[in-house]
Formats: sequence, C-alpha cells, structure tokens
Amino acid sequence: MGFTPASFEYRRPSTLNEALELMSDLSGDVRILAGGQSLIPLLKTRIASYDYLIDINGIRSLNYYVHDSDGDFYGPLYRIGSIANNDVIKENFPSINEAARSVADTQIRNMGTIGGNISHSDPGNDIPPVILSLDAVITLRSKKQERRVHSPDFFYGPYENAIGPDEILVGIEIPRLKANTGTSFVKFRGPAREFSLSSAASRITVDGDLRVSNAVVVLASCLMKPTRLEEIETELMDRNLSGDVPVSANDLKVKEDEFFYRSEVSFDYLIKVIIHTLKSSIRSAYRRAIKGVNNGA
Amino acid sequence: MELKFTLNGEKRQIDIEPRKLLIDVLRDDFGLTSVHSGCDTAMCGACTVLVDGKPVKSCNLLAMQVQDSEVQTLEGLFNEHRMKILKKSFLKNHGLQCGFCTSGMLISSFYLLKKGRESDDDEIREAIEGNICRCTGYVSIVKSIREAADILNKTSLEELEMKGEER
Repeated sequence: MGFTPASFEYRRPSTLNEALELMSDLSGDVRILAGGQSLIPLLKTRIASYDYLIDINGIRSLNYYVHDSDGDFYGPLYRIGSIANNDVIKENFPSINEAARSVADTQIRNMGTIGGNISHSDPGNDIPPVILSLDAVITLRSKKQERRVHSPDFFYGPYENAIGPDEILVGIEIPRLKANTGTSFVKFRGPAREFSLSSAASRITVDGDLRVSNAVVVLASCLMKPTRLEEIETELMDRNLSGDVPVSANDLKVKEDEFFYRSEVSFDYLIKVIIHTLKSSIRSAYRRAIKGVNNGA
Repeated sequence: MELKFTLNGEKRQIDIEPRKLLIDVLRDDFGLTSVHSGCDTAMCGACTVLVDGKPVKSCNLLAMQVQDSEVQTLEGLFNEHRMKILKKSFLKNHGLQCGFCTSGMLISSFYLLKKGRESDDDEIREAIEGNICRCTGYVSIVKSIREAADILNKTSLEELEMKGEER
C-alpha cells in the first residue's frame, strides 16, 4: 500500500440542497470533493487534510452542458474529458476545447471537472485564463443566497478565490461571442510532466476590413492569478495582424510581485516563453476571427 | 462505510474506510493485481482502470467515488475481442519489455479502439499520454496499437466475435 490520506468524515449528498445544508451546518475544515484530481494528491501526501469531505459526485443535476442562443452553460461536475470530446464546444469556443485538451492526460481529464479546475485556482490550471478571456459569470450558492460573480472578480491568487466557506460553485455561464470573433488558448508545457511555464488565452474580434475591433488577452501559469494584459490589448486595436503580431517584452507591464515564478528556468527564458505563448495565442485567435469575415464576404 | 459498485460485471458491496484509495480496494480487498501501483502520484498510469467505461487512474480516486459505478480492470476485459487482438499485437510487435506498464497501456488503448475504429498515430499517442513506459521508448507500443486498430478496421465486429468464440 502506498500513500493514504489522513482520516476525514465523508459525506455523499445526493441533492444540491443537502450539500448546501452540510456546508452551512458542519463546523471545522470542510472541503468539496468533485473529480479530486488535484485534491487527492494533496490528501495522499498529507499536504492538506480536512475534517469533512463532501463528495458531490452523486449530485447528478450538477453535471450538464447547455448550448443555446444566450450562451453556454456548464454545471460544475461537467468533466474536462467531456469538454475535450464535445464537438459543439470545439466549433463555438475553440479556446475552451484547447484548454480542456491541454489538461494533464486522458485519465485525469475523465475524472477532473470544470468546476474543480476553476475553484482549485492553481496558477497552472488551464480553464481559469480561458473563462476570464470569455467574460464568464460564475454562480455561487449557499444555503442562504445565490450570487453571480464576474470572472475578473473571481480569482484572488494561488488557491484563493471568491468562493465563501459555506458556498458551492453551481454554474458557469459563457456569454455568446460577437460575430467575427476568434478565440484561442496556448500553453507552453515544461519538459515531461512539469507544470506549464506560461499559458495565454485570447479573444479577438475584427471588423469588415480585418482590423482588430476588440481584443482580450490573458496571461496565466507564470502569474499569481490569470491576468488581462490591457497594454497589449490596446496595442492590438485597429491593427491587421496578418503579418507579425506586434508583442514584445517591452509591452509586458507585469509587476515583479505578480509573477508566480517556478525557478527551474531563468527569468530571461521565461520572458521569451511568455512572448512566444502570447503571440501564438493572439495569432491563432485572429486567424479564426477573420475566417468569419472571409466566409461571410 | 459501505461501498456498492459493479466490479468486472459482478455487483459488489464492501465496508471500507472512506479514505481508502480505489487502487488499494482493488488490489488488497479484491486481489486484482493487474492494477499496478507505479508512481503513486497520478503520473504513470500503471493503475489505470475503466470507470463507467472511461480510463481513470485508480491511485488518484477515493474508492468511495465509484459508488454505484461500474469498474473494469484488465481481469474483467479478458474475454473482450478488442482486448484479445490488442494483446496479440503487443506480443507480436514487442509492445512490452518488463511489462509493468502493460495493463495500463492495454486499458488506455482498449478505450481508444472502442471509442472510434479509425486511429492515426497522433490519436494513439494522445490516448497513451497518461501512461509512462520506461523500457520501449513507445515506438513499439504505438506500432502495436496501430496494428490492432488496422485489424479491427478491416474486420467486421461480427467476424471478430465468431473468431473470439473459436479461440
């Protein structure tokens, strides 16, 4: 026998209300268990231990995906593997497909959930930068109330976010994209299965002359939390990006204390990797955006 | 705490500590030693089993998470025709050396072949991305899966089932 987690009290509610009751009534350290693909390694190594684990895998109503004219709606238990294999998502939100496919490996994706990936808030998680780039809204519910948090207000820092101690993340809503919009997610993986050094999520909208009319660029992995790079977004406006993407290290206005720096590479190298990741993601989103214009014309 | 699930086609019920990992229940309580503990860090994939038909890493699951689910290990896939073809192909193409990763490799590739019968090398490599082999360098494993996929693509499932009966 290998590692075994420290003891905890285990609860497996079958409805959301039951789970919310438990969250409000139980005292001590309480943690939600969804797919557990990040949590169980922490339990096994005893880096983390809890008085109570509330396993929500039995709550069927939390596992859904709906695509309609208002946008896309995800239940927190929708598996990363289901996202990766969903053709509707791939067609409409390539960045979500790319982020899901870049999560660990097939086995981990089959257990891991979108809600877990967001609420774990590890700087290296792949879904957070994408939902930030898409202006997602996250719904949190407690026994007393339900509230909607916009993605820019959700992430605080490594493993920290807006979820209160008695709340459960119950839904993720991605607004419909404007016409002629392309999205992309690019991750620069470290060697073998190291954490990624840098990841970037972009959403680019173009006008009829193929010039950028709206740009959202998010950098993650190397930062404490996924962060929009507004200087770069402004730089891209009104440009035709068919040639080189004008992003250089000088445009990267990130303060030193915003970096979540894994020291296996030099800082100079990291900056090169970041610029490469940003350019690839912006280029790919732009190409997808102009496809809409060219097809429509 | 009581865990009820289907294991290799049989309904099972067992009283376990909730902190017990799925791999330990499968190996220690049910003696299913095809499930290998390799790295214990959810990296190597030697512990891969199917839960509700999909490969997962049994060292990275609490056993309680498979409550009411169906679990299949390599032992339970013994009579599956796709698995028979995969095993033959692994033997023929040197898809294993020490064999430690093989049960996980077989389960991941079984899932790939069951999902879709067309498989190119990129898909094969993506399917076994979560399985580490320290002997072969993967080339012979990919070749083994490729050949099994080709055989399956050329043969109708009915034919396979008939051949399976004979074996």
